[in-house]
Amino acid sequence: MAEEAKILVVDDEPDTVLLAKRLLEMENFQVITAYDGEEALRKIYSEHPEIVLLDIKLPKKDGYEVCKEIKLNEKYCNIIIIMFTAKIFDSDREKGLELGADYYITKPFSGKDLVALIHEIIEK
Amino acid sequence: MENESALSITLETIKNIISEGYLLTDLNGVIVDCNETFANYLGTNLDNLIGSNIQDFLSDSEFLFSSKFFEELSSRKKLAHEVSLKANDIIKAVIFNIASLYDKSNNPIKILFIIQEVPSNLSSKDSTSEYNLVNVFDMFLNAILIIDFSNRIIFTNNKAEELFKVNCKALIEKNITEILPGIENFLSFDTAPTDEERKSQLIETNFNLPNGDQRYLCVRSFPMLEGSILILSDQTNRRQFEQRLKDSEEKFRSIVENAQEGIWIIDAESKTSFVNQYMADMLGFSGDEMLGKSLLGFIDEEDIKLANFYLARCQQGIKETHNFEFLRKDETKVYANLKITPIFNENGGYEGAFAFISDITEKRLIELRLKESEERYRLIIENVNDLIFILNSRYEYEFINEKTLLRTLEYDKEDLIGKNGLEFVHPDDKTRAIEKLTEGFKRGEGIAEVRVRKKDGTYAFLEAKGQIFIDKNGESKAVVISRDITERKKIEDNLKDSEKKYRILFEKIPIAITLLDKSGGIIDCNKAIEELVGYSKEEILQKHFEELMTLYPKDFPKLMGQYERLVKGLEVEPFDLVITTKDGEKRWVNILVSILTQESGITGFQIIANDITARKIAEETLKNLMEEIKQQNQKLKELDKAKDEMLEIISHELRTPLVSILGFVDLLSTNDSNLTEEQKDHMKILKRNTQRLNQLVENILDTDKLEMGKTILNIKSFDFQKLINSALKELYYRIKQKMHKINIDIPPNFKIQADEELIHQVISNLLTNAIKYTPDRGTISIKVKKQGLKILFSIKDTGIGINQEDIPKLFQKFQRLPYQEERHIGDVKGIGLGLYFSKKIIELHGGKMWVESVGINQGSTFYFEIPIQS
Repeated sequence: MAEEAKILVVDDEPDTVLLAKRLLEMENFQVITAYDGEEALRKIYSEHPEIVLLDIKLPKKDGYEVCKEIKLNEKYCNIIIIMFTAKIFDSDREKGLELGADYYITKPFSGKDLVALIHEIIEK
Repeated sequence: MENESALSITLETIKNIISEGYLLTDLNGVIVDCNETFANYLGTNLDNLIGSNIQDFLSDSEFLFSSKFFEELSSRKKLAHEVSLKANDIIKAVIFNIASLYDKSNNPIKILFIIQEVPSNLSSKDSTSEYNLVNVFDMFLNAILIIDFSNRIIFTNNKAEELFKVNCKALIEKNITEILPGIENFLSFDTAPTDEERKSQLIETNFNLPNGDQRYLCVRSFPMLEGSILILSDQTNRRQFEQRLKDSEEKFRSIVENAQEGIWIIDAESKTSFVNQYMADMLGFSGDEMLGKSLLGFIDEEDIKLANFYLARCQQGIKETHNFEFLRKDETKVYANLKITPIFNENGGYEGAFAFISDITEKRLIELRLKESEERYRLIIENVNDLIFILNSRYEYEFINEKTLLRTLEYDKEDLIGKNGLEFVHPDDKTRAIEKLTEGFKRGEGIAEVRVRKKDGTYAFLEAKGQIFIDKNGESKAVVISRDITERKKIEDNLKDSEKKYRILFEKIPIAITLLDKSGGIIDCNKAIEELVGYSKEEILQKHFEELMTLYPKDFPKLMGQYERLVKGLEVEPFDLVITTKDGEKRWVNILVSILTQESGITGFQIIANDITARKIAEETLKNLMEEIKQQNQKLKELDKAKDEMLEIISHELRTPLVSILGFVDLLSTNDSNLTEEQKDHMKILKRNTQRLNQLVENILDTDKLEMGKTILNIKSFDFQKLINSALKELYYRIKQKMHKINIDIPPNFKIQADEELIHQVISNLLTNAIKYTPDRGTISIKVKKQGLKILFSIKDTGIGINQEDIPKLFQKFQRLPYQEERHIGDVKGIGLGLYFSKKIIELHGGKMWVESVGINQGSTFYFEIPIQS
């Protein structure tokens, strides 16, 4: 995987999406965005990103559902899903893990951490 | 008589044929002729007698051949005279039937004597009638008829005239068959020429004589030269007599045979001469078997002595009655009553005995049984524990069982019999006793309890039950059974006493007690109950227990359960009930139920009731409070939940902008080539404050999470050194800035199991504090040591230290030390949660955290200890 990796950022908060986009674009990643669960799925099916940054709290379909759907889908289950979790609820982490999320990152996140994580993923 | 030859032939014939003695003498008594019979009387033979004088053979012969004799003879023609004949040395009484024989001139020429013995088995009367009346003068004692060969009567005598009641002339020339019809059937009249060839015949039968008489005649016919001589003996009387005798004998026989008693006649040797059928049956023998056998043969050996004794008495002429045992044929015994009469002859000689015998075996058995039964009753009466006595209508003792009397009242029978029963009754009980007796005699029965004086003067309490009966004389008597109830009375008295005591107790006791019968009706209660329920005793006693209770439906099942147990006799635990007092007030009582039992089963219940109204109220209040608390708790929970939700919202809502702020500020500061120095400064300030804000939010959220116990430890194994290094790395800038020296003492490759992130926070917190509160160029020493199953972490600084009194406050929430060192840029001022939070984390791991500080400006050492494997 090269710097051309496509990353989908999903969050219902536009500023957060923008932040992530900026950070990633700075690293020359290709970034697509979505603001709700259904859009996310649509974008996944149409754009085939390698990585998905997924928030839990989303309108229409929440992060869990998206994760589940993707991971159960033969065609798309190899997409790496990084979930945003709120630190307060450990249960989120577990649930996410159960559903097949690959990584976690807590909000608020530092740009450095995010980038480091992406690189880590790509190297694999 | 018609011719002399006939006479002499007749005489001759008579002499030979008559059974009586025949004597013919001359007028002086010289024996001319006699027969064998006569000779036998005298015990000599014929030849000796011919020629001797008859008077030599007579013991008293004055009369015979005297002038008086001849006078009487000529006037009366025939005589009967009793004489005593001397025969050898024996004297026999005989009767001479005398007649004289006359010649043609009617001068006596000879005397004819017909002699007979005095009969002994017939009454003299009869013999007289039979023999003394014989017409001897005719020289024939019997009627004589002489018939010729044509069966014509040629001669009769007077006797024949008498017999046939006709004159002899009426008989002569008649055919014998006319006179004795039917004779030809019996006698055969031969016409053989010689007498020797003809037979003498005899017949005895009834003849219907022509004169109408029926007479029983004995006819003897003897062949004679010219015919037959028939001697007719009129046996009618004799026959009649015989018949009568036979009849009376038969009657006698019939009596004897049909007697319902046995008749046994023995002879002088005690041999059986007669037994009737009854007797024979009694012994199981036949009459013949018994005949001739000795009486003693029918007796058991051991009784023979006695039998002989009785026989001896009998022989002495003693007429008596005995009971005796005989042996039957089958060797069983028969018990008999004998009425014995000895038999003597006219000489006083014992000839045997005659006895009426009745079988009293049955009777004897009955007697024995009666005796046995009497014995039994006697035994019972004598041996019972109760006095049994009989009083007559004057209340005098007629009978009393001795042994019991002696035992209970110590009297002898004689002390009481004949005396009036009332004499022995206690003076106070006399009136009542008299009442009871009179009443009893009237009604037929009665019961009374009286005190009776014993011999020693003390009194016994007796319970007497009497029954009136009529004795065999028709008098009313009372049979009484008396039981000594002295003991019982004592017990009763004791019982009464203790009952009294109980009652006092029952009434006075301040505890409410009530007694119920088997079905729950109230039979007794004390004052305390009255106070409890507000009803008076009278009102209560009419009630059933349930009427006082207030039943709530919810209590029903439990109560039923209790009832069921009680009814079965099972104990129940005390339980609570509501009662409604008379005033309508509701009171709570705790019921303790005791089951009262006797042998017959459950007799009732005793209930002790405790008023627990106050307690119940307290309980109720408590319950209500609890309810309130619960509700409050609920509210708190809800508040908590609300708070959590709020926090969640806060966390999310606060964070979201923070993400952006932090992110973009970060972005800006990284991309700071286009910024002025001033702007870069501004950026730093922004970043710093934003981080502070973020940290605050994190702290609040973390602490809250910890407090709510929502923190779940994510235990995993990690390298402690790495963790410490990581924490140091994060604060590296600050450390460098303040020029602190860091010392680390930690065993290599030291792994622990804990929540990595949380421990990281703790160490960061402690480290931050150490850096913050240590002036520049200070030293921070971190030491990690294994202590058994725990690790000890210490961080020592050379900072401002802590006051002893402030140490406890240190770990409290929102606590900050009042004294601060100079603020460096970049120091994040905490809100006072750090230590509180850290301590909680450590404690969550099962460890402890503490601090030691000697004093102000002498540094502090923070310790924590956690298990290696949490």
